[in-house]
Amino acid sequence: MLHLEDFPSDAELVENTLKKNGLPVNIRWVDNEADFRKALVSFAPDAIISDHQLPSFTSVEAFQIFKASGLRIPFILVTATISEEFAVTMMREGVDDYVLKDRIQRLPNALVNALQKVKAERDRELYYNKMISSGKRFQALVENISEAIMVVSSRGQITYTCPAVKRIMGFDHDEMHGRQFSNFIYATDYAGMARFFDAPAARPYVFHEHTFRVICSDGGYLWVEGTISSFESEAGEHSFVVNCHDITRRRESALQLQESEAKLKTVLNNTEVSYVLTDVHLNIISFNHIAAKSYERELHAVISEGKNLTTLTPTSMPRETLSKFRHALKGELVSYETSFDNDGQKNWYQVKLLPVHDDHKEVRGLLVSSENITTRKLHEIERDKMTADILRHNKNLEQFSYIVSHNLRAPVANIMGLAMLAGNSAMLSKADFDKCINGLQQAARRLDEVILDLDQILQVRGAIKEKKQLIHFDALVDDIKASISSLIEKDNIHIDTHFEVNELFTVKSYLYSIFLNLITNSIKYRNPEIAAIISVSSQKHNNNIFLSFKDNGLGIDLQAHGDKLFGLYKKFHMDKEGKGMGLYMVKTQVEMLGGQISVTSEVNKGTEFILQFED
Amino acid sequence: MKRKEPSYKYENVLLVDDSELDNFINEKTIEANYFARKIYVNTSAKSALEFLNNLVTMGDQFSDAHPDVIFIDINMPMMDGFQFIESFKKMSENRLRHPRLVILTSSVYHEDRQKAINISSDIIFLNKPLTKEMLNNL
Repeated sequence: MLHLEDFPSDAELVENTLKKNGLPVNIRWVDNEADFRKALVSFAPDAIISDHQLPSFTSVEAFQIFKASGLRIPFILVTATISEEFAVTMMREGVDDYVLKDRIQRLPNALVNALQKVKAERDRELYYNKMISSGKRFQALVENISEAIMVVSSRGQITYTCPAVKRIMGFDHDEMHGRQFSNFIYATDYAGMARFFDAPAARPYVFHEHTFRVICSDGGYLWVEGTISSFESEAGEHSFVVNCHDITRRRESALQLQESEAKLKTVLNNTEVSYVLTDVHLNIISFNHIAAKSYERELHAVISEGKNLTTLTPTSMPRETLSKFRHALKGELVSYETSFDNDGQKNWYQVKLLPVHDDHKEVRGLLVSSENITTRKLHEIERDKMTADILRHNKNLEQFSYIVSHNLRAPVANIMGLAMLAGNSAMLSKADFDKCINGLQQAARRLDEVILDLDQILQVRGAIKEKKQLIHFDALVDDIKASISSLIEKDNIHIDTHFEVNELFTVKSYLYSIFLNLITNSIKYRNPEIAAIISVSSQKHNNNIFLSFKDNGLGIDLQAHGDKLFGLYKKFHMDKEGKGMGLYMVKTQVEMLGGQISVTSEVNKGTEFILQFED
Repeated sequence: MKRKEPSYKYENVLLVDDSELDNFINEKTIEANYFARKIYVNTSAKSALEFLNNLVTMGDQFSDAHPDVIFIDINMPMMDGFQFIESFKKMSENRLRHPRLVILTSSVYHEDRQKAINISSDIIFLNKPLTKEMLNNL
């Protein structure tokens, strides 16, 4: 308690009065302005009691000082005499009470009342301050937030927009207030939200998340993600808080990502190459449409994520293919060609196994790409066939030129030489001249023969015009036996046949000629000292038909003549007639039918010719 | 009236050819051109080799009978002209008077000529028919 009083007796009176009423007071008594100011700060009083009339200054001045100090404590005026008017003025200024000195017994009550009143005032003030500061905070929050917040009435009218609405949508507060919320939403998007506004009562306070477009002041729109919640106002009316977050950029990048993914998918699905991605255990992670199609077509396997590549088909993956995958899993890039035969259609694939590495260069899986290269392959095969054809034609031409330069040239040289001799007949005897004429005739005949042979060779070597047909070996041999029956009977030839395979789809006249030539050859070169046996047989090995013509004849020294055996006009038995055409023609015809011929022979034991044809 | 003994270019020639007709033409041409006094004829390479071998074994007193020129055909059965030359070279090593080897063939096949040159550079390659000009150049 701070007491401002100049008379010590009055100070004592106040102290006594308070003590008498049981108020435990610690009173600081000051009598001048300087001490009063000091005490206000240092003493920290709970209340101030002030005399009105002091020698140095008045209670009015003291009150001003007290007010300026900002202290919120009771200030009670205790005075001997004051006018009613002054008292009212002071009370209006804020003095809490006044007590006349002659009625000092009222002071304790006045003090207690004033203390209570000031406390209540202070509490209220504190409460107001709290209220004000939290409200301000909330407002600041709402006004600085980046989300657009709108309050919409149950009739769909906008009643509040936060400043962010202007930033995001570009509309001023006034442009939106009182207008329908739906006017600011992209029409097709609002359709999906309308339901929520229509029946708010059914789900009060429900947060409703929605992605929609808001209309902007520039006529464009923005994608926002909105939360709509309903609440009941104090007046009991339903309202909605719409809280929107601009996601245009996010949405655009998401759309771009989607688009690029879609593009990549489109590319992968429209490429001619099949792709299958697997992990290190060859479990399928993903694949494109082509992969699904080609696995179905070639392996009759349904490809799906999670399945293992090695167990797609009932039959396990071939060992050599597995080994290729193993190499790829070690980090090698493996590339190979493979083919599948389905319903008579053969498809070729170029397969590449690309190891997929992680950042640590470790193999994490495989990308298996398969490209259908059938068209290219067919072209290659066609080209190889054409090359082989050209080579064959070229060989034929060489053969032709060889025949011309050797066999055609020989009788021509004879004719030239004989003509030269005959032209100088003075040097010749009659006998020699006749020999010349005879020789000329011989040479001319030989020339004609060679020309006929050439024609025959060229016919065989040319394109085969005759259609292929199914030929039965036994019937063919029977035909030949019939045609050379006199020869067989005369020399008592025995022809054995044993056909494990009895048929071949081929050109009949060629095969007939081959059989006839080989059989007559065996007859011609039989061993005259023993009974001739010719055995003709057939066997099948790996899609190849082998025909054997074996005799017990004279045989031939293959070491000395093997390379010339099938040559044109090559003869090895001078005592036998023939011009060395037979085996040449046999070889030519076998080759024309796509086959091969080989021979084994031993002098005086016999000869075996083996023919090989693709079935 | 005694005929004057004609002068021959060579003493002996050997013809190796399987064709009787060719041998007749070559013999008559050689005779007509006084190319050699004596003409040996063999119709196979094998018999020609035997003949030459006999000459060698008979020794030096028969060296006058050794051929100065050997005409060989290429295309002959059993043993052809090239095989004959190879065998002959092996056999003759310094034991025969070195005859001139002439391949006389009807073949105009370029590879045959090349093959003859490859065997030995001193082999003469001639195309039938044998002419006066050819004999003059030998």
